[in-house]
Amino acid sequence: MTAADLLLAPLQFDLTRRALIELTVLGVACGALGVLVVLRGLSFIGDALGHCVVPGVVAAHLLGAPLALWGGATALLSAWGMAFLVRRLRLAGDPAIAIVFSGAFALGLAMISGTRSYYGDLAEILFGNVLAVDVRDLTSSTLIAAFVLLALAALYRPIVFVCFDPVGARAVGLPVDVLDLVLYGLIALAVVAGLTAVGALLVTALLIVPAAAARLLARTVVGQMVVSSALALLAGWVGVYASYDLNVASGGAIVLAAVAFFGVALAASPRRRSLARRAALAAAGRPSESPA
Amino acid sequence: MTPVEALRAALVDPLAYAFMRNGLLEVVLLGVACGLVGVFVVHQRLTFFGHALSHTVFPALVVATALRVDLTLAALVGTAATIGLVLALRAQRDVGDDSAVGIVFIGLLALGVVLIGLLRIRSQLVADVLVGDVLGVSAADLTASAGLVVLVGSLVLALYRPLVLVAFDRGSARAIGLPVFALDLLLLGLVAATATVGVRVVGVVLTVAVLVAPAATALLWVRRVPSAMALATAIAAGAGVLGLYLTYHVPIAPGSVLVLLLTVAFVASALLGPRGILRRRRAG
Repeated sequence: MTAADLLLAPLQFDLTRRALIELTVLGVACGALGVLVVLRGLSFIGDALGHCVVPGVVAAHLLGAPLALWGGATALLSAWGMAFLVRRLRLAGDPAIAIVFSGAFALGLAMISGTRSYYGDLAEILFGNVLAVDVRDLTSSTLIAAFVLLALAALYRPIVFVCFDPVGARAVGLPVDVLDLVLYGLIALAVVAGLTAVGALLVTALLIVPAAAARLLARTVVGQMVVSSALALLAGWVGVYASYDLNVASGGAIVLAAVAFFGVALAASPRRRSLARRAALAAAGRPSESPA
Repeated sequence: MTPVEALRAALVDPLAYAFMRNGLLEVVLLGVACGLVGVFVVHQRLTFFGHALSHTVFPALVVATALRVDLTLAALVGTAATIGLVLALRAQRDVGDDSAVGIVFIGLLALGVVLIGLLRIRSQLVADVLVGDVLGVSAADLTASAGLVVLVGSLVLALYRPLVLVAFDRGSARAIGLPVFALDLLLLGLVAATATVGVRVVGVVLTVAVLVAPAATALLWVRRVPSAMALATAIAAGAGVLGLYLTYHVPIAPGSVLVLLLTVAFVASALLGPRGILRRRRAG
């Protein structure tokens, strides 16, 4: 079999064509949004939301109800609940978030573990199966991705300002809390869009990893968004071929490809600084390091 | 059935089974480790790092099963690799601390997922790693867990003062010449050992809850470190024992019940505790 056969053979099937389109759509939206997630330091929140949607997804699965609707409702509810926790319960911060998302995940697990031979369903919910993407998933993902990109375009300036300098943004009178809620909501929507293809546990990787790689390669936010989107959709395509040819869970292959790109970006980054200098800075005491 | 008989059927009869006895011992061991280490995890803001360390156990266990090597050993090697990778990434410019943890842990999780497919691992094993298998704990597993918990306990006791000083006043710890970086590494090692026991009980995904929930709940009620450790141990072990008894009677995943109980305890304490939201509002 030649290389061309390897690339073209999967394209004769509807399901692989659908998978490639799904990953293109997801890659562009998650890649662009991810730059802001990384900039604002929300990796943990993104991961938390991936866990939080699980009870909604399990409910949709058990009731045969539309995934996007139930998942979307759970995700938005938990995103805004999480924003509330972060602002109101300053005493607890990260642990509070971890406890809440673990509780939500445990609830989903308890619901599904009551059913017979639940493992297959669970693995698909957690790690995704891009070849199971149907027309309904594709439509909802496309709509969500379009909405996310439009929202980013419409709110570009204020939201980037908040990500870079929340204190300054508040000082000039921007509604920082509202913009944070919008950002959390967009992350929740992106998580739901990626559920079928990448899975609840791995979907945040599409937000974090390509964006972190882009940050090493491009300077401006728009430049980072373009690079990040390109890397995310490329990783998605690699994942589709890997799950078609090697029969591995698509989410895992997609994320590993993205991590490989990150490794290359790290090695190739023009702006690396030596370990020693960073260590000297750390020894001088960074404020973020001091415990509360 | 008289109430006494009913109580005996609910509480004593399950003890006739070896899997229940082993499970109960295992959750109590986990409770001790979580109580001792959790307080440091909460204070040192290692929640996300702890989450990452428990996810690393996943590929380690997949590899260990494929190569037929000891699971606990593989888990410890895997977590050591994670600590190294995260610290190396954090030293890079333009990679945020939070992204460094995120990338490493999600990459290792994905590696585990891909290896399952490539190595054709039995799905039952994967399920056990993901959601825990406390009722499948063997005598050998129990010995391994006991060894880890004794190690964690004796290190915390031996190095109690320096560990607490680093957690609460980093500047002074450095000023009096404590090896802060070595103590940080040691703490990460303790978290990794605890996470290895936690994964056996509640699975990879939920281990972060047993790492932080008992301690975070205890710290809502008491302030002193030894009291917080004792209370956190009691909460974790209590939730474990109660959860196991519940799942003996209702067939759902024991790990999920344990974590739900811990979540309820935390939320109730956050609302009703001495510094609770409800009380504070009433007072203010």
